[in-house]
Amino acid sequence: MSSFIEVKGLRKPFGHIWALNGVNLEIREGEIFGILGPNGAGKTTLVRILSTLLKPSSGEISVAGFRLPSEDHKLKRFIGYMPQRPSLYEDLSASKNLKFFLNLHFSDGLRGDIQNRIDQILEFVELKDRRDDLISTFSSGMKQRLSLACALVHQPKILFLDEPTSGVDPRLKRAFWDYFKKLKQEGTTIIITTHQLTDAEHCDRLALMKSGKVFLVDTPHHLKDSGISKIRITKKSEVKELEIANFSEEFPKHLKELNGDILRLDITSETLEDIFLKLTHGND
Amino acid sequence: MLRKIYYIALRNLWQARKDYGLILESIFFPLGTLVIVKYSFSQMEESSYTLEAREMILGLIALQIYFQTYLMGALVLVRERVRGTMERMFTYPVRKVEILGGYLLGFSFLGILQAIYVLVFSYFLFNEIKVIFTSHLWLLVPITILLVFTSIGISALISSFAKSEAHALQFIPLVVIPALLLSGIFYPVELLSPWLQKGSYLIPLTYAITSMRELLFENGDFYDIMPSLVGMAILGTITLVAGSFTLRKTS
Repeated sequence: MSSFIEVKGLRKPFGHIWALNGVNLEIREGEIFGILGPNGAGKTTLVRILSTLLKPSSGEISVAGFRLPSEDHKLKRFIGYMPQRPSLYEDLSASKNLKFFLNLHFSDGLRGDIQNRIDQILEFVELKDRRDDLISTFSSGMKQRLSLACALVHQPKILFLDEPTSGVDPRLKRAFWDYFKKLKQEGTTIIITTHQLTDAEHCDRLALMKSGKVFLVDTPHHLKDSGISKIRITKKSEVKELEIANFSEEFPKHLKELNGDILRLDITSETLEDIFLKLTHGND
Repeated sequence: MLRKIYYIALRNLWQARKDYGLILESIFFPLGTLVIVKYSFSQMEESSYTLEAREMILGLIALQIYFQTYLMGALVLVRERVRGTMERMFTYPVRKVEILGGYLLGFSFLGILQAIYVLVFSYFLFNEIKVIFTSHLWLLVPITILLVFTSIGISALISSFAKSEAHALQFIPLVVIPALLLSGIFYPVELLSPWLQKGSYLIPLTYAITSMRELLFENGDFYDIMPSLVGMAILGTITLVAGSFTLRKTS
């Protein structure tokens, strides 16, 4: 099965504006799929619909073989959702938070050893030594990590992450991406919304959103390649400047000009951020 | 389904156990209120407008139970919505009715615990009403349980309209003032104008006070308080069902 999540013509209004205005999307099993877009593009709304929190007003959606919204309760067993804010019970300990959420799954047919699973997940997010401390004593980074643990505790097939790295320091961000890549290796499909371009580079594929629509789906490498690279070749006798798009394909054609006595070669490529800004600020 | 209701209730109890502020408040606040009630009535002359002191005291005890249960329920529900934990719960395999059932069970346990405390304390504080405990203790049980039940129903319904914890506090006068004036704490409901009398049937406290007085002063039995019990049960069910429709994930 190629498309694990399939969305066709999804629309959802908020008040008098369309938060989602005809979204089409296919996500494959086992990939890390990034949803990128400026604030208000509809990223969060899309993820909230896919993770059963909101009902779509029209369109066809199938997630892991379940149709939404009619089969949303069956889907809930297989998904994990990490909200933008940590959203934890501050007056409970880390292990009690996990135990509560795990209990909801266990009473719905999940089997196994609860205590074992809690230890395992606390180890995964490196909070094992704080298992009995109240969340109100945690730093914001630790809260984020526990919030991820709560979304993972029942070993979901699909993990939805709503801006997991906003307001997170670079070290924790690195740790988060290590966790996500480990999960991908175990076969989890990860859908992540972000407006940080450093996150985008880690994704297998990216969807770019603007005004309630997905207008481009591509790999970060391809997307980066589509930008314009400025090349400055300094020889003894002359300085030559080139501007090329699709660097990986176009640059080899210019290689023959590079023979001889080159003193300097400067290549400046557009960053993913430049390309993102250009794409999201252009015409619809 | 029942297991999920149990787990949600259990989580409420875990939280209450760690909430030392709540525990201290539920010990000392009713204590303060009841002491004020005792000494404010001890110097008072009988008046032709109002009921006897002991009838008013009984009404004020019921008000304390009604109000403290409402406040606990409303604040916890609003807090969960504001902090996002309510929404988070909805991404787990749990239905609205199970969530509401879980809160009802958890709050009922805590509310009844608080109510028992208030009643026991009142027993030692007010000689005037001791008789109701000694002769009608078992009829006091259903009245207390149903009063707590309807208070939770009202807190579930009203908290749906509150956007924040501060906003929930603004609803307090809306709950307390009609209860003070219409439920017959200070003067009989029959003295109110007919349309206000109808309004008093929407307040659970009216039924609780009517039935408690029935026991204390008319020496009533289970059949005399039956209509009031049914009234509270219906009101509690209606508010809970309405609350399940207005229950929202986010503020």
